Amino acid sequence: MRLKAENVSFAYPGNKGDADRFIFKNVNLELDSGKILAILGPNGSGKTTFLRCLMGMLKLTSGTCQIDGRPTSAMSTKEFWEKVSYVPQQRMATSSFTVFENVLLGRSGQIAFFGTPRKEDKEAAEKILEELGIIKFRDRRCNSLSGGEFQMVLIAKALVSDPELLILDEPESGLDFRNQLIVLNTMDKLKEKGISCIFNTHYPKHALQKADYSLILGGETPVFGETGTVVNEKNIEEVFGVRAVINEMQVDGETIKNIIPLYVTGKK
Amino acid sequence: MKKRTVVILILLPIITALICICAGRMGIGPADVFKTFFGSKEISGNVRITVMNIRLPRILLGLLCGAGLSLAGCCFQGFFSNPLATPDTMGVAGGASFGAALGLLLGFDMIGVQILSFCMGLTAVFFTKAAASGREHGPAVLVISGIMVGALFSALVSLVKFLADSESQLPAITYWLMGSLGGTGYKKLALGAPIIIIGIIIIFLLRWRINLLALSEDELIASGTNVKLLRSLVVICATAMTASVISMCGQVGWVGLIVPHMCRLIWGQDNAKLIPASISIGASFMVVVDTLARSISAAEIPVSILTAIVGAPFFISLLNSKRRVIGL
Repeated sequence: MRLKAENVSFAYPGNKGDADRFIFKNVNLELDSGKILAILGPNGSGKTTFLRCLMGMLKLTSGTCQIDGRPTSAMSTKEFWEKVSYVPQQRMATSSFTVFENVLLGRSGQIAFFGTPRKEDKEAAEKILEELGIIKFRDRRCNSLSGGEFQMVLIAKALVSDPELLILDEPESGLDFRNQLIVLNTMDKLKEKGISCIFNTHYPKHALQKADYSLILGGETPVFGETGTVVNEKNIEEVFGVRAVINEMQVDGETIKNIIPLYVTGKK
Repeated sequence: MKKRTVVILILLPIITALICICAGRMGIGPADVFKTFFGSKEISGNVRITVMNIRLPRILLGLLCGAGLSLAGCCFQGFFSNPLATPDTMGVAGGASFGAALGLLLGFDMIGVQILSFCMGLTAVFFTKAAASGREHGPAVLVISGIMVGALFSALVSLVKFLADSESQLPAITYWLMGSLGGTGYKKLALGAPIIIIGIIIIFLLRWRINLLALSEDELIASGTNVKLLRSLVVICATAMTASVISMCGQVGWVGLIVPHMCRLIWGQDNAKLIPASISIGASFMVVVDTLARSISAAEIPVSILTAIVGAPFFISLLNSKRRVIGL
């Protein structure tokens, strides 16, 4: 799978003669199979809007998105969602379905409109719960799970349809130290299977840790490139208005990047 | 669902119906009932008429109404992702009641009343949909406009009552509004039953897919399902079933709320199990309550009174004990 966005812009139409209010302008990006892309930016920088545009929930003002060379606007909903899965921003776990029932809902693209889940659908759901290590919650009600546990259920639900691209909206926000790591490490496992991931985050550290590429929104112009190059002290200060230092550490022969915020510069 | 459960759910309404057909002020043994069914000549004319022309159509109506109302309740609870939704949430009962009251005021025959009532029920929901359209919004707006349209039509019902002749028409309207399965003939059934049966079949086929309606809007789109088609089918079927039930037997309250929640306690939230269970339990529940209504006392008790007397305490205890299971 190869995802490509060319000169993508989105604006809310202005009221009565006002200029259109652009949320982002001229975003360009490319993503291959098994790569992770982080979309980085402060609150209100249009991260979620960008994802919704990418998925066709909002109509682009200009530009095109392509999957394997085909414009997504020309793909049928069914065709598109066979390749792509979406994990929305996690809210309170209000669903009173059981975990298994909830994950099974992710197979709806494979099940006929007037049909019910077949044996293979149930097996796929069992398998993904096993893989993500949450099979022990199989028969628990979702509204009795913690935030971190429910986030993993949502990821399982997205993965059960065997997507080529997984889109996650702030998958790690609101989770504790350990659960953030569990969610982020799940993306590494997907990478090995050749699944691409796009995730939104307001933590530059998570982009540095996990993402091959980063798209930074919220500055003068959107910046896209390899994470190691574009997530730098200058860009962080421009977008977040925070002076931060990025340092490197050697752990078990691996180089790990970390970022420490120092103070608010007010420049933004 | 286990095979055993499926068998029980299929047999339950049939057995309930057979028991209830024997019950009543005129006791008829099961053997006589069977003989009547198979056209035996030993059976007296009285028994034959009671079983075939009075009790059988009434029990068939009870089965259909119970199944239709509880299924419609189940659908609307799924549609609004709100456990408090009832078949009446979009104003269909208000509209259907107004149609019936108007029909009685104008001196229509029972078939005319039934048709007018059904049409007004659909009209009310159409108003509700129209009032809530225009902007992108969640189901809450639909609920509020449903309440408004319901209020409007109940005011119109009051107006009709006010205009009605207090000697003959007013009692007829009041009695109709309380709901009763009495006086059912095959003609009434032939008009209303097909709509309910078609509704039941479509919703039964959609039983798993209705689960998707509990998802957030973006998740629903991401499921790749034809959302518009799914929503329209569910609302149209649930509305038509409710309007058809009300047009045949008046406002029978509570069934659409109690039965689906009773089933949730046993089978959980999964509509794939909930919908077949609601059909079976709803049908049986209605026949039992109606049999009580016609046999407890010499005068028939309006069935809505019984469903509320059984329903309200049950629902209150449900609220206190199993909040999480039913999603409150």
